[in-house]
Amino acid sequence: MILWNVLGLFFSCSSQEQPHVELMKGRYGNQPIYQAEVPNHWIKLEQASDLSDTRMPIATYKIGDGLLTVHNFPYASFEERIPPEAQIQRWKKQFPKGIHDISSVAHGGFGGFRLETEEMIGYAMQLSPLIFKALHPSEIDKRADYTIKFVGPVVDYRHEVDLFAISFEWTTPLLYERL
Amino acid sequence: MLVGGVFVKTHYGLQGHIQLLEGTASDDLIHPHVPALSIEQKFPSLIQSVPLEQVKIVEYFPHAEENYQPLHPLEEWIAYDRGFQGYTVQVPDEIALQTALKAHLDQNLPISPPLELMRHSADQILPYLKAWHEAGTWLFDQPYSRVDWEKVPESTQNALFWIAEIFDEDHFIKRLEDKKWPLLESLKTLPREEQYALWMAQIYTIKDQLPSFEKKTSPRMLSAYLRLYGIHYSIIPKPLKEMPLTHTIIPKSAPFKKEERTPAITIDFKGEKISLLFNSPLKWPSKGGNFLFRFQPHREKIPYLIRLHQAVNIKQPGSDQTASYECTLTLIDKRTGNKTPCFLSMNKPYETMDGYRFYLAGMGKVDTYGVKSVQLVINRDPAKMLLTYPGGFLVTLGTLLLFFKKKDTKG
Repeated sequence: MILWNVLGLFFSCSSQEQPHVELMKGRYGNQPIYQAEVPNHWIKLEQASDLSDTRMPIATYKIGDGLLTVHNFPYASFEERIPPEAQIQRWKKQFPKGIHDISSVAHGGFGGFRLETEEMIGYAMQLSPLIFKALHPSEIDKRADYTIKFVGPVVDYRHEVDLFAISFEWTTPLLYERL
Repeated sequence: MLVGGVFVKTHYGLQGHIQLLEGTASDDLIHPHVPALSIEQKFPSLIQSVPLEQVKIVEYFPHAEENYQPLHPLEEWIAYDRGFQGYTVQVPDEIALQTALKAHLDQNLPISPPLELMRHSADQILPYLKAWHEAGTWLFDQPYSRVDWEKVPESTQNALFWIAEIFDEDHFIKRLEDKKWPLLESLKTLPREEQYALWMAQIYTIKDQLPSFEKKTSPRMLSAYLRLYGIHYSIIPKPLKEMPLTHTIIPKSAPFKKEERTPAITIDFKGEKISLLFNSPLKWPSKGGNFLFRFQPHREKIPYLIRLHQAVNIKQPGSDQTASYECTLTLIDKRTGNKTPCFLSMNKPYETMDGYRFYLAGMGKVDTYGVKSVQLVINRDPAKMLLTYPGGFLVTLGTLLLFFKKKDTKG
């Protein structure tokens, strides 16, 4: 009996499936810019054909009863950039109910804030100024800031959303010598 | 075997560090104490390669500092085309303006009457205008040295005196109402600063009918005079000027601190002398920017491209003291394309199968949102398993066996 239980532990399917790496395009061009670890049970929804409007997400996933959207915001110049605090304030107004847990996060060359409420988790991330200035203006998609927003049952999918967000990065890194 | 292991490590081993920022990758190992001269060609396929004989080291200074000579203290460097055309510094508005004003005065070109009164202390004109602008008032109370009002027609002096005496910025309209100013209605409809300007013009128009005063002067008269001629710091167009940057190397006697002992060299490249300080951040152009020189730590490529994903500084609970540094990396073997995720933390290095060891040596924050940089120390000892460890084992075994050696009983 004990042996079957132990074997069951080794061979049972986990409810949290192993994620796979998925590539995502930016707003311009056909080459993928971003990659992230996406759990297998997430369903990717079709993108709009024209992504030049920054209100359109560059990726959308259906996760159970919730929806996760990824937006990026390319900027032509350094001064145009909107700080992550502004995104966080906007989300706080959209989801005023309950406690707002805000923490600072940084990874993959981006830094910003994570907001969690009863109904949503949001990451507002800005590219480090050092890296922004090292990129050529023609690399406009790479110079973009991004947001990841999940609206749905936060308690059920918090861990998966956080893993997706922490793994979200460029497909090809910038060489340090370019800084 | 131990000595052999040390010899092999010294001559064939590897030790250096790599700098990374989150989101970046590098395979460039830096040997910080090994100086090297870096020569880059802008268009390698179009320009003949540089034979090494054409680069001669003319002078070497074990201790030196770099000296930059712009017209005035640096604010920001501008490098054209990544330095290929040279470097300049952007001069602040005041210096450019002062230079233009001085050039105008030196040529004895006609200037407006209020500035003519200030000509004797020409270097004070701009500071006065700037201080007035910063005060934010319509008229300025600060006196200007030795203004000779005798040069100004008496009726103009009269008008300026009455303007200076009557004008009250805080209660402008009320004061004029109390004084029953006849042209008040035409002023009330205008924005504030236009009210002031129009009223001053009205006073100036009737200057010959104004009662005269007993040779009094007021500090505000000068600013009133400047206002009548529309001279104010805020409306002067600010020219943009850039000064070419030149630099020299200054040899120094040996400083006490090791970190201040910066070496420098002077090289002769095809007849052009170039002085370079060790590890200076800039590459210096030569031959119209076609060649770039830098005196820098020796760099070497390693067979792994290291990508830094995230660096974390874990604090002690309830305090700002650091408990641990950690980072997540991916090592990409350039020879096979294999990607290996790895995790480094304090006192926990990572070693590849071919003997490259990666240590997390330092971490720092580079911007306000917490993006971090890390320094990795990398070393490789090719003879570690063949000579050094077996040699150490034999020495240890021999030492232990000494305790079991029987005493010599030869009598």
